[in-house]
Amino acid sequence: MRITSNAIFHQLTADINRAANRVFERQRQVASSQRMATASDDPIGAGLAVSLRESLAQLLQAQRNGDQVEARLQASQGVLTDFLSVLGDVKDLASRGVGGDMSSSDRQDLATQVNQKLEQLLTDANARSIDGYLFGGTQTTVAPFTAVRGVNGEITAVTANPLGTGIAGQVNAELPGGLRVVANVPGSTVFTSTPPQTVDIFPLLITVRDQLRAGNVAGVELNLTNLDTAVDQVRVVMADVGSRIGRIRDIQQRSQSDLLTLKGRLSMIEDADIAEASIEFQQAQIVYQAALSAASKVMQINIVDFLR
Amino acid sequence: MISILSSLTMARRALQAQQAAIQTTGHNIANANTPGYTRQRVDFSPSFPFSLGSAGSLGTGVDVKVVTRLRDLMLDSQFRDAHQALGQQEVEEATLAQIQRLVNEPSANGLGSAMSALFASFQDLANSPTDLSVRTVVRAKAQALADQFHRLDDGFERLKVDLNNEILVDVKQVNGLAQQIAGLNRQIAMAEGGGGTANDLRDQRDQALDEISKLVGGSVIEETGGQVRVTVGGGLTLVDGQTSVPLVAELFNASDPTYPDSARLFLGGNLLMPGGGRMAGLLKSRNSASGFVKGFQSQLDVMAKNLVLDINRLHASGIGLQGLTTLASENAVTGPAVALNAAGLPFTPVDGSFKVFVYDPSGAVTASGTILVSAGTTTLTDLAAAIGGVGGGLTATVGADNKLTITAPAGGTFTLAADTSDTLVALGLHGFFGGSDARTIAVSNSVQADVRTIAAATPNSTGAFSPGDNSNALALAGLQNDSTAITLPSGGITTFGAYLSGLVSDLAEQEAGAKRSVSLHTTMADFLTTRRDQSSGVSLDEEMTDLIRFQKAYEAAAHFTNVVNDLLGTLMNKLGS
Repeated sequence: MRITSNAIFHQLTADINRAANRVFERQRQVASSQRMATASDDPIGAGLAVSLRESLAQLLQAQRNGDQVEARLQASQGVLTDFLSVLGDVKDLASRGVGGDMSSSDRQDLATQVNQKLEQLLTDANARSIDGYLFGGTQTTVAPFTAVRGVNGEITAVTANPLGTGIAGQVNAELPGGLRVVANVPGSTVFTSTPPQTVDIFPLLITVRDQLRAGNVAGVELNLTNLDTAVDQVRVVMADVGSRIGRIRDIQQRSQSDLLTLKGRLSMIEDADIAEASIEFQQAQIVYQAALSAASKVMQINIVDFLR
Repeated sequence: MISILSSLTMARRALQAQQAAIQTTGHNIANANTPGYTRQRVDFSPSFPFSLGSAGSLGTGVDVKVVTRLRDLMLDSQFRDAHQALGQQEVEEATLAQIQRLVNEPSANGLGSAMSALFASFQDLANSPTDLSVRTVVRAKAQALADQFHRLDDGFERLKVDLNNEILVDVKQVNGLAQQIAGLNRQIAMAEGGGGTANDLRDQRDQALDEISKLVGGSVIEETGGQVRVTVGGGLTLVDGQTSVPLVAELFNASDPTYPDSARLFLGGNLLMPGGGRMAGLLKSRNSASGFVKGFQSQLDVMAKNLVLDINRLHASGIGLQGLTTLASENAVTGPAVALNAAGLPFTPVDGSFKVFVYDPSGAVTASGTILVSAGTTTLTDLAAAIGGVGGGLTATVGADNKLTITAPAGGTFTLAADTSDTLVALGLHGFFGGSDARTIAVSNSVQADVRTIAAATPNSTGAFSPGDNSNALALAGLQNDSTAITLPSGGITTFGAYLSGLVSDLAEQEAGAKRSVSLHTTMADFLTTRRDQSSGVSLDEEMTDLIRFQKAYEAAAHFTNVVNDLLGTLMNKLGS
């Protein structure tokens, strides 16, 4: 076989280029800590990484949704707790009102106290958070309950927003895993007799107040049961809200491990193993140096050096 | 017998022959690094002998027979085959690499993440439907997604222009080389007419042939008289003897009936499909409908189109924080009296209906109506009349631009709902996006003008709605996991995410395949280059030893001349005195 200068030169250049390429590739992996320079380095991994990134973004958003829903339900729960104690107070006042030792003026005092509690309940029912009225259903920009006041400024009736596009409207939210939860406490489930609920709380309180004032002991006595039912009604809602909060926490907790798994899988595809890449970088460097030094040795030799 | 003077002649010829060999060796050394140079060798042969009758014959020295090029023609054809394949693969790989850089996935700031961000913003909208800042973010995310589509589409268009330019440049090169080969054919025919070979001219021509085959492939046949014929693309003549046929590139735009959106080559009036070389790679990259520029661009268009369709379908039937005061359709029909399904709309309406509700300033429904659409007969004028007929002061007109404008009564508002006919999507009425492909997708005019029109809520069957209703926002967000979101041209269905990840995988796999192919062809081409270098290239070591060999022979011949000279002197002195 003839060995010509050009053949040697081409071969050396090609070999040195290959060695330099390896060094460059390893160096890039170490410096960027990314396994792939382009998608074509691992086509299947690249496609998977696109999907994983999407799932990751979706999961993070779902977790954000969960946090928001939990905050909203916590706020509702807080108001409901207050509500329950106020309702309990009304029941106490009503029980005292049916006692035989009560004078008419005592009952007037009780009626005034019940009226104060009524005002407080109305304020609670129209409680707001950053997302609007807590018990407004889907109508969150208009106060769900409006008082109709008599000449003396006392509440004579309470009107509510319509059910369907108002206080009965459920707002859903999507949690990790595509699970949907009701994110609000529709006012209808707390304050009105919309089935399955049975007590219209505001009219009941207005009646009790008026009965106390009028000395209608028998009426008040009858309504004590209704007040009990009202307390139960609110309790049931609170239990439901509490269990929803618990469920959301569970879901969030579980999604945390999903998050770690997703991140781990993405990292396996996208991130370089630094230890391995560093060692390979060293090896590639040694090969490159060897190729260079061999080239410089071969290029030096020429017959002309040996003539004369 | 032989004369002593003929010995002197023989000595002179020997000197001349060795000198010719030394000259050729020098020529070889001088051209050691000249590209395309083939080493030459002086072939000697003993000159015609002097007959001595029965005693045999007497040698008369050396003749320079011929100066040959040491070239293996078989290797040449293999070299060209390997390089034309490599040229094609290299161009294809470069195009795919550019597309891959353009798509830039997987990454934290590509199309995929922009899409995820839009769907996430729909979730945020569902969490806080009345929050105007959240609505502004939704619009910004939609804009960002549209920008990503535009960036990619612009990139593909730029790639097309780049490929067109490269094709035009290469055509110039091919034509230059073809003329050069025709010219060299003439010179070689003239030089070789009297016998012998025109080595250096042939080297030049071989190099031009190498170049031309790297560009357009083709095959080379040497004909009588030393001229070559170059044919490309399966038999079309590029160079025949001393004439060359000019290669012409033509660019066609998208509306061309025969060659839509492509670049084509013509040779002597015939369509040329090069079998290899850079040109074949460039044309495939530019024209191929599957993969490459057009293939991936159309895949992106499919994605944008389905995204617009799916999102607008939901959005058009939803309602924002309040009804609309005025609304103009974004897609024009070809004529107000043309049936809607033949009116050149980007999406095709089907038979169905949609509802119209008119609200007074307090938001109470004052008029409502159901508009029936029969896609094959209903025209835009019919539609305007039907909407105007709903009453409540609602007006609908068809403008000179063939677009529909609906206007609410003074102080009031209106909304469109429950569309089962795709008419609203087709006309671009109350859409979230405008446009219908990667180039035209944009935030719709109504959303652009007022984020309160982003339809997070759904009006109920009587038209009543509430601002805290997030059902439509949730439905929009749910499109991200909708496994029927994209209908593929092949009829299959898939989610947006799976479609994109499939596109990325597909592109990456093609690019990886092209890389492997380039590396394979590079190895082959390198091997053949080395083989050719080994047979035709100059080895300085060899030339130096040859130099010594011929130098010694020259010295010996000179010494022989001296001896003959002495013999002559002896003859003159002894006989003459």
